[in-house]
Amino acid sequence: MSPLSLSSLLAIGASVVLTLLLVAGFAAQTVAVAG
Amino acid sequence: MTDYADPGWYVARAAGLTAWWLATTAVLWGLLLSSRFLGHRATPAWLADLHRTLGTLTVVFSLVHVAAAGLSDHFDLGPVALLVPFVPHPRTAPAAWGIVTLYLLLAIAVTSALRRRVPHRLWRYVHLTSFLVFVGATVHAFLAGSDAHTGWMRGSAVAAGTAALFLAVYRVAVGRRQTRVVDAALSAARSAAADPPTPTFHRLTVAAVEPVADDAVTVAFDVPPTLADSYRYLPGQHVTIRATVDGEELRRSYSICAGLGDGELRIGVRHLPGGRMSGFVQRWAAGDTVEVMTPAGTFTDLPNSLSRRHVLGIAAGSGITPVLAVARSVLTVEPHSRVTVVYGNRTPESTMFHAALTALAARHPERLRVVHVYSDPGVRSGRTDDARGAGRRIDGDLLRELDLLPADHAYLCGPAPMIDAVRDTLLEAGMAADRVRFELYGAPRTAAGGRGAGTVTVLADGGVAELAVAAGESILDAALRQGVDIPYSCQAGACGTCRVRLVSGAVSGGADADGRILACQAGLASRTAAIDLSSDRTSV
Repeated sequence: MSPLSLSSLLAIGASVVLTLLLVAGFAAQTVAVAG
Repeated sequence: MTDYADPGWYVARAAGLTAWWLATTAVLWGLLLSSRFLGHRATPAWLADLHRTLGTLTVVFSLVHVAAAGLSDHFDLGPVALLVPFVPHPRTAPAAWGIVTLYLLLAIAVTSALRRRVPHRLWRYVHLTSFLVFVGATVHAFLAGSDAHTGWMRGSAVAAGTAALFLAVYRVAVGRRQTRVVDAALSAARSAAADPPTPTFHRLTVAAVEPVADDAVTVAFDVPPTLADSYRYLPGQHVTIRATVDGEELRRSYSICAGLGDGELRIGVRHLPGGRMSGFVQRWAAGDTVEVMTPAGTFTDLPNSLSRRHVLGIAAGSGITPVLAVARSVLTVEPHSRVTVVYGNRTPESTMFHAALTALAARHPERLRVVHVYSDPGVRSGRTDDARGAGRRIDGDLLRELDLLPADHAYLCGPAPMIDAVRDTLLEAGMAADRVRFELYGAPRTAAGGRGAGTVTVLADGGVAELAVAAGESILDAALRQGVDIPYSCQAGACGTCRVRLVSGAVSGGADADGRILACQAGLASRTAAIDLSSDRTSV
C-alpha cells in the first residue's frame, strides 16, 4: 500500500472540514429560524 | 415537524451533500484522466491517486449519511427502510433512489478493490455505472434533500451535470479514436515483425522537443503518410540518427519511447557529458529536418489483446526508453496483463520519464507498478514513489525482495553488470531464456583478438562487393574503409543495426542461432567468408 499523495490528503481534509462547516451551518440556520 | 435539536439530521444532510460533491468530483477526475483531457503531459505525483481517494471518500461519507439518517428523528426510518428499497413509507421513492445508488456505489468500490482478481470486463462495466451513481445521487438529493430548493444546490447540479456530460461525450470520442489508432499501430507492428522495413534514411521534420529529466529530452518526428509504412515499429525498437557534427558524420541509435497507440514516432535522448550527437540533439527545435533511419532492433515485444501475463521491465538510466515503450504498449493493448517496472537511477532529478511513469501508473493503478531504485545514498524518496531506499542498485537480491519472480516475460535494458546480475537471477527463478530479452546500453567495444585477415564477399540487392579485411579489423570497419555500405549505428555491438546473415565462412565470436552476425564486432576467422545484406537488409 503506497502512501497517500498530497492531493488525497487535501481531499480528505477538505471533505471533513466541509462536512463540519455544513453541520454547523445547518444547526445555526435552524436555531436562527427557531429564534 | 422539525426537531431543532436533531444532530443526526444535520450530519445526514451535510454528509449526503459532501458525498454527492465527492462522487461528482471523482467522476469528473476519472474522465479527465482516462480521456487524457489534460494532454500527454504527465500527471504530477501529488495528484496520482486522487481519483481512488475521491471514490473511497464518497463511500465513507455515503455510509455516514445513511447512518446519520437512521439515527435522526427527522426521518424516523428503521434499518429495513434505510437499506431495502421500495419498502412503503412516506418517502419511499426518494429513499429508493438513494438506496439503489448506494448499492451501485458499493459494487464499484468492491470491484475496484478486487480489480486484479475480477475479470477486466466486469470491472469496466461496473465502473461505467459511475454515471448512474452520479444521476441517482442527484435525483435522490433533489427529491429527498432538505436543501433542494436552494440556489447553490441547483447551481451545483447544473454545473456538475454539464461538465460530466461534456467530458463523457469527449471520452467516448477519444475512446473511438484511440481504438482506431491502437488497431492501426498493432497491425503495423505485426507487419514490422513479419516483414521488417528495409533500413533506409529519410529526412523527417522534428515535431516537438520536450524535456523529460534534467539532462534528457524526447523528440517527436512528423512522419508523412507516404512514409508511414517505412516507420512502422515494434515496441522496444530504435531508430538511428545520422548527422554531420563538426565536419564528421555521426550515427547514433535512440530507442522509441512511444507505445503502440500513442500515434507518434518519439525517441528519448539523454545528453551524455561530451556526447557530440546527444549535445547536437539537445539543440534541435520543432521544424528542423534530420536524417532518421527506419526502425530496427530485436529487443521487441509484440502485444496481443488476448494475453494475460506479467511483464517485468528492468532498466537503468536511459535504458528505460525501450522498456517504457514496451510497458505502454502492453498496458494499452492487453487489458488482462500487468507490468512491473524496476528502474535504477542516481537521483530522482536524473530519472528520465519520472513524470510519465507516474502518470502511466495513475492511469493503470492496478496493472502497473513502478519501483524506483536510487544509487545516490543521499536521496530521500518522495511520498508516492515506490522507492527501495537510497544507495542501492538493481540486483538479484532486490528482485527477490520485491517478490516479482518468476514473471512471464522480462525486458532488461542497461549496462552489462546490471544485465548479467539480473539475467542470472531470472533464469535461476525458472524463466525460459527466450522470455528474458535484454539490450545493452553503453556496451564497450569488444577486443579485436581473434580477428584474422582475408576476404569477405558482400551480397546485396544492388550487386556483389569484395572486401579486403585486415587482421584485427571488424567487417564493418573494413566496409567503411572501402566505401561499402552496411547499415550500422553504435559500432559497439549494442544496437543490432549491423546484424547481417553469414552465408559462408567463419567469423570471430561465431554466428547466432539465426546464422546472423554483428558486422561491427565480427572479424574473420577463416580466409574467406560471405555475408548477405539482401535477405532482410539492404545497403543505405
